[in-house]
Amino acid sequence: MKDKELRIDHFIRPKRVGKIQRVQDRFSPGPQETGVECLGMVLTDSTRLVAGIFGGRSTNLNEFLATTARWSPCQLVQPDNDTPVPFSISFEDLETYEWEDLDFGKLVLLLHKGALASQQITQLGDLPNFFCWSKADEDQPALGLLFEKLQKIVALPLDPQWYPRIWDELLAEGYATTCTCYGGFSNLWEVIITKDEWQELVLSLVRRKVLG
Amino acid sequence: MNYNIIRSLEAPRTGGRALITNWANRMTDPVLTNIASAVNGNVFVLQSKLGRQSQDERVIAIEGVFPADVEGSHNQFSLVFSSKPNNEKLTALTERYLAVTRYLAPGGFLVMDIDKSVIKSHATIWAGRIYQVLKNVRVTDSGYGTLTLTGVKRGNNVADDLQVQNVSAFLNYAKDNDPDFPSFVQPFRVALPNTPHAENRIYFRSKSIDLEALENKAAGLPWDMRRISQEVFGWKRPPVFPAMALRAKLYGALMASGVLGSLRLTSPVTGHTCIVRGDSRRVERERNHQEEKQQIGSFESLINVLDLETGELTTYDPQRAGQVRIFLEEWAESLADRLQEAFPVAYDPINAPYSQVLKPLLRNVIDKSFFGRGVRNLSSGVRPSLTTTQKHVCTALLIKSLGKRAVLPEAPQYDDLPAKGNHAVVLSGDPGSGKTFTSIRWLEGLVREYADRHNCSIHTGGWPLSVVITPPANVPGFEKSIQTASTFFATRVVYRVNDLYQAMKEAKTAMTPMVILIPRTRMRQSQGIKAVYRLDEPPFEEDHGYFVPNIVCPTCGASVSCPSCRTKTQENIQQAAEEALTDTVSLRGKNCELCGSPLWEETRNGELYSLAKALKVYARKMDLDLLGLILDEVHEDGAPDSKQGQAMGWMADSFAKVLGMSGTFYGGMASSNFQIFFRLFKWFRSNWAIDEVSNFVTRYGNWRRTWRTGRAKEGWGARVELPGVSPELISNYLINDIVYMSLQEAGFDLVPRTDYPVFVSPTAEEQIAINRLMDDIKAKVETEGFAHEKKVRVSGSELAKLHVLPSGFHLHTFSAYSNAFRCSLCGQPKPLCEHQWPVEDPEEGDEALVIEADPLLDPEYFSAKELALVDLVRKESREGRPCLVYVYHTGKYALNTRLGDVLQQHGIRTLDVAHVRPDKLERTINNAADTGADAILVNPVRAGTGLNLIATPTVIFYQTVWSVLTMMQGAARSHRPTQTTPVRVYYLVTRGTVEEVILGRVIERMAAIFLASGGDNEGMAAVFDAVGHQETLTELLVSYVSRNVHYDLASVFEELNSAQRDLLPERLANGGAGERPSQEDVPPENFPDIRGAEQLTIF
Repeated sequence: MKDKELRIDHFIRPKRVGKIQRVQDRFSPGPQETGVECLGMVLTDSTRLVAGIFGGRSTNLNEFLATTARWSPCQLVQPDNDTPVPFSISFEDLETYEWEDLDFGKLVLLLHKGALASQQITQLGDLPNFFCWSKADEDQPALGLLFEKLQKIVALPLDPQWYPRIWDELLAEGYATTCTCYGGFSNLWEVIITKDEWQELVLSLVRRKVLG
Repeated sequence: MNYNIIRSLEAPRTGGRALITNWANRMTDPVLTNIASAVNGNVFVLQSKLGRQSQDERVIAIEGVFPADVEGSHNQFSLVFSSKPNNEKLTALTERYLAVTRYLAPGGFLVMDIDKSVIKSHATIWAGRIYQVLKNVRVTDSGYGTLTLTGVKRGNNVADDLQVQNVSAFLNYAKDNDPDFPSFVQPFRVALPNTPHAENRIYFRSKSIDLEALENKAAGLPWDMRRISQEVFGWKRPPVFPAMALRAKLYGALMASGVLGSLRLTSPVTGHTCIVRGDSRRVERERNHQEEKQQIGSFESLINVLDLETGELTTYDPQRAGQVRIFLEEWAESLADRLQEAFPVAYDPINAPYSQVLKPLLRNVIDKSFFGRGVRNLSSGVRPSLTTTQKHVCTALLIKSLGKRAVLPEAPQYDDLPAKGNHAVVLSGDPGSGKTFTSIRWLEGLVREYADRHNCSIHTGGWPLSVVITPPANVPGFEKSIQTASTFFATRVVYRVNDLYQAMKEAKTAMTPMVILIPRTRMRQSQGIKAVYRLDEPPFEEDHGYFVPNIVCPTCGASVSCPSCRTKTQENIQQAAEEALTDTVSLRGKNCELCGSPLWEETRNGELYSLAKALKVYARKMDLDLLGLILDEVHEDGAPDSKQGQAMGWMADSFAKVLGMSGTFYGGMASSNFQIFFRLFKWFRSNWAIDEVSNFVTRYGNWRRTWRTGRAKEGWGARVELPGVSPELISNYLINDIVYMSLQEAGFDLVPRTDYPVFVSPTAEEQIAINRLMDDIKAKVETEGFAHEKKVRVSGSELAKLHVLPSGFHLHTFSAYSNAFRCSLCGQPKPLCEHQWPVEDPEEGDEALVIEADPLLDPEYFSAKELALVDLVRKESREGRPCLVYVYHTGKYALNTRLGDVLQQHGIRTLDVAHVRPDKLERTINNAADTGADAILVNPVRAGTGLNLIATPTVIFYQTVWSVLTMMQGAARSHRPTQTTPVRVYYLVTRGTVEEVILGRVIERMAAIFLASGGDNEGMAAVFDAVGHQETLTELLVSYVSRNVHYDLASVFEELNSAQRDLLPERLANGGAGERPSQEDVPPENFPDIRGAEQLTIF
């Protein structure tokens, strides 16, 4: 399969977006600087963080991950845009990857578990959120990754040739929606579908002889 | 300060760094440049406020304070300048200001300014602290009310020249403003150290981030790091290359593992096109189990078939019995082709047998007949040789090990073979299927192929060395097998380091290749050697122009020559003498010619010497090629943190080709395979790290954790591994490097073997004693308590009583519960006696002496289980069947001694082999049985593996052992290909005791292991679903005590029996398991309490 040749840097191209602030609350006179720089971010419609790359001095970044982002809402301030983008991080859903071997700082990549193909992700339940990547220079998502993962959960056999057709159906039925991307991420879709809906979708296509 | 000191410093070769704290305003640019030159690198100047920048690029100004802003940069600097302290408490100051030395690399140079007033009254404290970390300390007066302290940072060695008294005087002297202080100090030159790790980072926290640099760093991140790419794209299966065609029995497991992906197949039944897919995924679920909240991590497997004509979806659940068979009945044939594509085999015995593809010299090795007398011909040929299956298995092993080197260049079938073959391969075969002979032929093939490439011959020598590691009891048997299977090898048995040295020296010059046999237990450690001879006076004598140390025997004083320790020059006499006293190699193993006493002694002082290490070192020094390593019973090396296993790992690494052999390779848990994989296979080590056992278990095994309550901190407890493995372990690992060989396949006509549980009902008195012990331990558990995660506070020996009691409550240890105890006052047995022990003597009144409760054991008393054993042995001996009685609790509990007495008192000829050396065990037991012994008592752990005990066709497990491997291997000792009498295996169980539960668990796990290693598809269901109730022995005992768990053993046996019948149709149909009409085994009649329904066949 072509997707096997993919590398993670095909999907993520870090690009400076802006800096992260702590949102003003009633105890603080204004937004507080965290000293953390954003190099790419993806949000769902509900301003929840799906993926993000953050960099900065390790003290600042550690403090941001350990306290600020856990207890207070944050916002992204872009230099060319006056309106800050609010977001929140739910660490239970995220996997953290860190690079510390930099001379004066540290980089952290946060990825939603739904965007991973790892089989260790076992607690997605009956209504899992899947996130589907696309390459930095392409509009079509890497369907192999998505469907292999979906099949792990619902155990419905699919022919790889069907993937583009099923993807169109997912978009048409509104099961797949686009996420808001900043900086280093180009395209990410969120797929929300139950096991039964998924099974019905595919089986109806088979019965209608659309797939065969 | 006089900066001339900088000139005394020698720059490090590959460059270093300098750190200057709070000194910058006193240093001019030329000084900083000089420092940069002195360290041959950068100078980092730490300032509270950034001042002017230096012109020199090597001088880097950092805004920050010491020490907060250099935290993390330990041992990084070759040179540190530190300014004078401020006014804080002295103790804090010394600690803080000596803290700069932490950032200095060992050997680095410190220049520190200290206020004289600080030093004045605490010179001794300062001196002590300074001299702990610095050496070559010099103190000079800077003339500004401060002293300048210089010194070199010590390494990790102890402060040997720490002399506080002198230093104190020294500092006091310096304190007195002697202007000429440095002048009388000898000129010195200090070579500065290199920075330990040139690429290491330095943390300066206050330095602001350069955003562009950050973006560039992010763009150049190592995105291909294993963890992230593995998690984003999923785990990639390494190429799997089974040795021989996969058995149809494995199809189910491979399909369920999901490695085949979605397959488009046409159903042979309906003719419809279908998409077939199997998937195995991890699940973590919570449950309430016996009032506990538990989390279970396991795997779920499903096989789905989507019919494209009808749109119907059919699901098969391999964890439910019979479902895989239904699936395979329809799809097995279609799957076979796809499986062959997915798993190309190394050797195809049908289309390209060894006679056509193997090189002639290897073909001859395989086809040769055996030598020596007394070899039973199990093959179909005229003379005894390997059977056909063994020949194919041996070929598969050779092809796996040698790759293309094994096959003819014109053989077209094997294009995909690797050029040099695998490093390690495992042969997993039933006990008695001829693994030993097969492995010896494999070794001979390796050596002959090596000789062909390197032109070794009896004229030129140059043979490589091969080693066999085997359990101690198997050493003589293996040596004999080598002599039978091959006249090619010379063998040596090695127990000690000096034996090894001699054998390797011999192997270096030998005419024929040599095989060294080492008992496994000797691998972990061996004795060191120390010379005991001494130098005499006068210490030297002259011999043909040489000075020779005068060494004498410590016993008789005779002169001993040591030719290697001579010298021609007067100057080297001392050195020659020292060599003579330390050169244990040249006199190793030598005895005094006059009195015969050894000139060396073994020592266990100091570091013990591992034979594995020694072998590696000697081979390197002697330039000896290490070719083939056979690890017999390799599952014994699977324990984590074991020296023996570690030694196996070293050995496996040192040899070019390794063959592991085991009858029970699969240990029931994922972690038990992890260690063996890790030690044997290099490719495994590239995928998994040594500390990733828990990850491996999470990936391929089952675990459970329990919610802890009733404590300050609630939460999930530690994970406990449960038996059972994912089918992915089979598809990804097991089939790649393991060649299976079963007895049936090896072509052996085995006699039937039948297993009987023998239930013993305790007498009423015994039942009282059992109940009392139960109540006692229950009370202890309840009062001392155990938490929900089953951390037992009751001692292990208390719990062990539960296990030992049914067989041994006549022992002194259990006198309080034994009815063999008779009260000295009333003469009643203990359960009926009303006295409380210890009792007071009524005649003495208040000043009564306490009568010690000296247990009075009735020598005439025999427990029900002992009598059952006597009956059983008598019954068997009447039929002329000697019995092998396995007793586990020997040693402290000495059950073997007790049983020996009991059997002999009943007129049964008994032999207890507890004292027999392991290498004589097999011969002793067989001789005893042949010469009239009725019962032979032995611990199953000692006689467990490799022995051929065919003279005792009856095996009795007096106790159930928790280790399933021990039970399986023990039972297989008598059930060998050369056995002619039908074999009976009895398990003695006392009713209503924990023995029933233990045996039930063991039988269940035994079935799971058999099904996994036997490679049966349906059986995988049993392995998959092994989550239910497995636990450690301690947990089992605790739950037994606290909850009164009663195990219905009969139903377990029934379940197993029906599962066997249901799951193993071919095996039963072939008559491999005791249902053979020609050799009917009549079950013994009138046993105490044997129920007909429970007599069944396990294997």
